[in-house]
Amino acid sequence: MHRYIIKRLIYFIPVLVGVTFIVFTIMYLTPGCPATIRLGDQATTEQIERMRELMGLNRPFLVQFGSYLWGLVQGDFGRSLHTNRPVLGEMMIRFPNTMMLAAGGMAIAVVIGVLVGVLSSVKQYSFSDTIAMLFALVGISVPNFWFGMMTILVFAVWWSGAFGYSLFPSSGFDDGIRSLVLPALTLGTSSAAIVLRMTRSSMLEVLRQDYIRTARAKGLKERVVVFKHALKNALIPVVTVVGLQFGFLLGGAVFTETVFSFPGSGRFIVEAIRSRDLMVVQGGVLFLAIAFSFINLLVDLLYAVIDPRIRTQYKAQQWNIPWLRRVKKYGQ
Amino acid sequence: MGKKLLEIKGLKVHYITDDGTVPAVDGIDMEIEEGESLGLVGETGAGKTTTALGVMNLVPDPPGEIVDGEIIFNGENLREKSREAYRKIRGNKISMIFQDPMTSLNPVYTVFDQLEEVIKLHQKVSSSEALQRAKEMLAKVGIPEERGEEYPHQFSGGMKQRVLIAIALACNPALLIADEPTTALDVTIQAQVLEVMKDLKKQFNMAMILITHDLGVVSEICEKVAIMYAGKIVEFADLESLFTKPSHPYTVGLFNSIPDPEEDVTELTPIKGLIPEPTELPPGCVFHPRCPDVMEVCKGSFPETVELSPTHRVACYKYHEGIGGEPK
Repeated sequence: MHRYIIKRLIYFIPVLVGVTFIVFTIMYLTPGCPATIRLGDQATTEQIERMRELMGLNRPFLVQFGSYLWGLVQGDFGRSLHTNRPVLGEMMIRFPNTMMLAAGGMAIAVVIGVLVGVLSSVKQYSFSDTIAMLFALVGISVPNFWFGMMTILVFAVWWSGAFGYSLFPSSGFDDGIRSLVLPALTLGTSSAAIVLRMTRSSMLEVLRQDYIRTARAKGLKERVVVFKHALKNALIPVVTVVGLQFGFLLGGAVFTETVFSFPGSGRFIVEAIRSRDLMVVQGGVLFLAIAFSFINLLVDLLYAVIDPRIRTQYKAQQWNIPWLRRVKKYGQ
Repeated sequence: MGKKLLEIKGLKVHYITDDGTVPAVDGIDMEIEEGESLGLVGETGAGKTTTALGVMNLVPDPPGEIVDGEIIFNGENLREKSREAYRKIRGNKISMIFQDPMTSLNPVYTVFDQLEEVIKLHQKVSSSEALQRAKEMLAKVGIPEERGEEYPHQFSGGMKQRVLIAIALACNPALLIADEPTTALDVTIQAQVLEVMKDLKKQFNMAMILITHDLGVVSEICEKVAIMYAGKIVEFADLESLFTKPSHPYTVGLFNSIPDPEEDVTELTPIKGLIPEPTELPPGCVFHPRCPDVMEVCKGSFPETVELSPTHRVACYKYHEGIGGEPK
């Protein structure tokens, strides 16, 4: 198991280099010279030229990429072109907020999605199943930002109009958990719909399996058959979706954070795009990519917790590195 | 004669689909005494498994439905039982083993988990006693107890079937229904599993319904045989009279299709034709289109059952007085 984790961490390296390359290339090809942005519109050509020299922008593409990579290895994600503050530090202040928001959204999505999904699979084609599927359709189709504004309208504006106080704050992050409710709900709705659909179809598949018949033949209560025997098996594909959705939520938080003026990393990046702060965009996107990779690893480990077959597979992992094999072979 | 354990009277299980109603089990009668083994023999699609699921009250609903009949177990009509009461009988007094051991164990729980579960469910025992009992059961089916901590995917097919047998027998049932327990296993393992079942049946003194299409297996284990064809029991007899005097033309056809190892056979002699589509059963006797002895009367209605002897009955016009020309 440890071996598997270490192996996965080693596989991170090429993935991260690849992601960095893509992000770096896009930023490199983006029109607009960082030196000009840094100095402002009034700068003279000579000043800009000197700044380009100073920032190393005259060097060939690959050299620039290499030095950026080298910086990353040392924890240097670059500095903001406007404030000159390190991107990593700025992200570290805001990312926990986004993480909390995404976790909240995911919690809502998982609780609603799995529960309703299970019920809906047990009562397939019933009235409640139809209602659940309708909810799923609406949940997927409704745009995030619109739904966010609607929650603000209902819970903050109308509610305070009717009762004189607002049930949940509609912006910022000053009220602890309470200020998380509306943005998390907004963020989680579409994921809830996707998790619901996945749970339902996975459960329908599992409920047809022979071992469910065995469980019933034992005389188990239907509740035990569904939640103990079926659900644990049905969760495996659901975990995949939850993992992917979590990554999506980190990125999708951009809209939600903007609607709710939430001090998260998504809004930070959006503001950087507006002010053409290329270094922040580049570092921020990379930071999120790394976070996403880690979440993926966690998901893969979660599989092993649920499914003993995968656990056995992980345990059996060998170091499959060609040169190491060759060294061993010749060593004998 | 021992005490009657299970008596099925006029059981009808229908599958109701958009394409029409399929009478998978169409009015069957059979009985089984305590400690006795009954072989339920027939082709695929004859309704053997549906009969078993009917007794267990596990017919998938929808589309299946028990439409008529009585299932009397230990003097009580099971069809009048509440779901809750039925649940307490299932896995406890009546157990079932299924056809495919590879997929019949839950892959995410250990063998002990799955074995202890049924013990704890039906018997008032503590966890440690349940574990002890689970270990004993594993030993009885010949699996080392330390392997109980393992998961089903670490077991071979034969071992999985033995685990399933252990689960089925854990609560000492009065009746075990074994639905083709060896069909999915290879031949050497088949013998092994059958041996275990025979052994345990004697030890536990339980009755058994063995569903199979292998008359050889039946002759080894069973005392009674029911031959099923297209949802009907066409012949019901004790082992000896069935093997010495097979009476229904279908049974005769089954025996004829077994090649004789003594003779130099180049070609098998199958029963002509195919089992009919379940949605388009022929009128009259369901077997008449394939029957070598077909008469005009066979096309009219399904024949009443005739008793050839107290332990041998057959549903065929050949044995009807005044029709078949061969009065009793």
